Amino acid sequence: MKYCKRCCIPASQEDVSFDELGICTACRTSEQKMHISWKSKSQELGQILSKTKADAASYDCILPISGGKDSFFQAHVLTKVYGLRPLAVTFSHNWFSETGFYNLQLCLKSFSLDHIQFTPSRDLVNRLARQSLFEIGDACWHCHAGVGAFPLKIAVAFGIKLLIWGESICESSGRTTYNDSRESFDKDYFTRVSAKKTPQQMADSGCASLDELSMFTVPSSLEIDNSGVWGLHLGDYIFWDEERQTEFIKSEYGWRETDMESAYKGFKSAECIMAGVHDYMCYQKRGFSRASLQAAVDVRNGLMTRKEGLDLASRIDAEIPYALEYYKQLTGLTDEEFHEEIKRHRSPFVDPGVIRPVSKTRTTSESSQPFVEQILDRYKNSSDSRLQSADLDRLNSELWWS
Amino acid sequence: MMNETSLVDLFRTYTIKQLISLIDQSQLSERDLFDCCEHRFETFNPYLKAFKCVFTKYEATHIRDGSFPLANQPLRSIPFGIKDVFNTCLKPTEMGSIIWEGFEAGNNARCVDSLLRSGAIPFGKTVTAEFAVHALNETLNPYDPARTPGTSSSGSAVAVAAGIVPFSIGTQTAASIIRPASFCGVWGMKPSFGLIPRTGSLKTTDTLDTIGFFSYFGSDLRRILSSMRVKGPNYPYVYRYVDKAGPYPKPHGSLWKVGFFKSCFWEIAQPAIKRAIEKVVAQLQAIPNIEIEVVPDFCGTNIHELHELIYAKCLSYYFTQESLSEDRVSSLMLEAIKRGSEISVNDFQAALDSQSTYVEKCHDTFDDIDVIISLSTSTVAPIRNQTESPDPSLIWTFLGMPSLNVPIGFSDEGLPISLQLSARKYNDYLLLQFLDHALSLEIFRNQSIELPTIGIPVSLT
Repeated sequence: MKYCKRCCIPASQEDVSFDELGICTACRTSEQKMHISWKSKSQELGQILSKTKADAASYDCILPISGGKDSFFQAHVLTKVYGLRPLAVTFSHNWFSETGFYNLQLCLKSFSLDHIQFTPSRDLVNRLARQSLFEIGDACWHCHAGVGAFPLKIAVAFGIKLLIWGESICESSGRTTYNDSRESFDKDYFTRVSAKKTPQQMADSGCASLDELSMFTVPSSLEIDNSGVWGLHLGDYIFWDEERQTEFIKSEYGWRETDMESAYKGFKSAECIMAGVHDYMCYQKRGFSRASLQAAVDVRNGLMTRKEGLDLASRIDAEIPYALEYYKQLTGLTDEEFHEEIKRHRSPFVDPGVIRPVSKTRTTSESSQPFVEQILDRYKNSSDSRLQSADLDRLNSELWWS
Repeated sequence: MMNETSLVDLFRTYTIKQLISLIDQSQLSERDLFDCCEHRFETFNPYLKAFKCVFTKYEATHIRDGSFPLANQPLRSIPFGIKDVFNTCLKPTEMGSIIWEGFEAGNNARCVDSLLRSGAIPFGKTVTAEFAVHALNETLNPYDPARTPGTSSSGSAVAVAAGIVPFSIGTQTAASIIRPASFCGVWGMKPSFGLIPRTGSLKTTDTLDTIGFFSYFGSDLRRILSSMRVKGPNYPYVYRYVDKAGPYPKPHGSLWKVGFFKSCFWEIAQPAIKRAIEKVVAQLQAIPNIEIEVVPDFCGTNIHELHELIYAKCLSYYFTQESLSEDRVSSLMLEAIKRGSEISVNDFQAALDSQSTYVEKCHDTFDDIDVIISLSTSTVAPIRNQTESPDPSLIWTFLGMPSLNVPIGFSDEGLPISLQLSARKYNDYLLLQFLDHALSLEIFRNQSIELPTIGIPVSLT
């Protein structure tokens, strides 16, 4: 497979292009950042946000939030730097890790955010996660669609005109560069780039009714136009350095990293127990995964050589995540069915011979079960602690003799 | 309180550790340190031209505090100079080029931010060669204005030599830290490739660009490195080889195996430099727990040839746009870009592959060697614009190995002489441990070479 001559990105990365020296789009973008006047950009942002603040009624903007490193940092910038009053909106994938749950609650508390969250039922999530494999070769259609649609629905419903996302789409996706002209706001971006199928198409597959998918449905263009809702990415206005930002929110606010599957950095998608499964599917389809993307960034930043990056990524990308067991359990798929189906989505750039998954031996401190399920299991069958004899004596004595 | 004499020359009198201790004891304040910078800047910079621009005390404090310093501040209140190839949220980043005159990036490079979070105070931006390459700039060598201060981190080296700041940061793609440190008689360190992130700094060559620093005292190098480098499991190689394991620290009293690598440039090195280095080698040889081994030449000029090919190709790639403004780019840069554009993609790739092979091979070459002594430069600072000898230190940049410039004395003309200490990749702290050992044995002096009156108007010394 052809790789970028500079970093660790292969030709099987979606929408990647290589220039005459064999350098990929994301590498070129990373150099453009050095020659952008972020001073002018942040002045532009300041003007936008001042106007927004002046025009807004109840809330100044919508902050789509997962509690991950980016939305946590966005919350800091919006509230502490620009003094905005955002409404935090979470589309919950219902796969929150314990660390992710903590980070989200910490974010809401640290920045005194009002919060609206939508959580699809466990049953619906399970059905969509299964069908997602067949439709798009990915476990996460419901998350891709929900994070795109739900904050927009809230914006339209409450008449809050501005949505503020974090990382620029130029940053590391390799889909576009800072020098390319592009629409500043595209309501269908998430559908086009990550969800790939509309709710109607998912409903047509029979896994759920269209009514059940209403929160996954992006408002119509007419609704968007009439409401005046639009959005921006902070990363188009301030120099985006996710590692520096993560260090900052860790030390200043107590945000936590965790053991991530299919990755060697502890911050990307720390809120989700299924990130490793998502990334393992990417490995099966495209021959690379999260570790390759992380190594590519480290190589660009001079933190490892390309050879070190490729060596490291080849080991981690191929690991079968522990959470795959949970995925198979919730979808009812056998290992064979899962692997047969994912092969159907394999990129033509990938030589099937290079896909050699390995059993994972690295230990992890994060459970592969959603945090809420852990709580349910913990309490569902345990007895009332007050009825245990020692406690009963204590309660009696405290109640009557204090 | 300090007396007036020491207040005007704080950074050549006290180590960073001592300065912080004096602040802790209320004998000095952050204001005193910044005042000292300003005083020495006003005295020396008009002549030496080490700084492109400086921050006011208000700006400097604002930048530092805006970066949310950590509770533990190993560089608390310590001013530093920033080579003008690192973005800073205030002041322009011009990269030594009139094309980028007045360009205000508006963000801090990550390594700058790491220093700010360690409590350091930015004093100003130092003069660099155009795009950190090699075209000689306006900075003067404090020992002799007729001689080059060494490029490309010239301003950073001179700022430390003149005691304007106690330390400064720079970059090295070939020899841009070791060479100016050698010519200006100060300590310099180029850490292993991979220890300090380049985010927010100028790119010239992917596989070579390395961030490093200069200091007036050798014992300060460790503190600066620890404040700038990445740490923890998010950086698996650094975590494995630097944070968690490796041969550092070597138990007290263990044997040090020191390699003496003359390289093919020993033949052309000036006799005074060879004599000075051989004297150090002899001193080390006399110490019971140090064993000297001569390392055979393993690369000849091959690494230099490969380096030239990779460097030129990358310059032609990264500076295509700039090369269109021919009248605003130096002829030296244009020639390098032209050479690079004539190199085929296949030749470039083959050179990168060779670099990778060399990096692997050198693990074997230096397998049982703790520290390597070699030439920093084969001559003392040459006359400005005179063709310079090839850089011996480029070898260690190419191999990603850490290296130090150690000032060791003067030539007959009164110009600084240095040697270079290197170690295997990721053995940065082992290298610094050896330095501590050598300092404790008084093989080296902790201070940089004291600036004499040579070449500088008496009023400025």
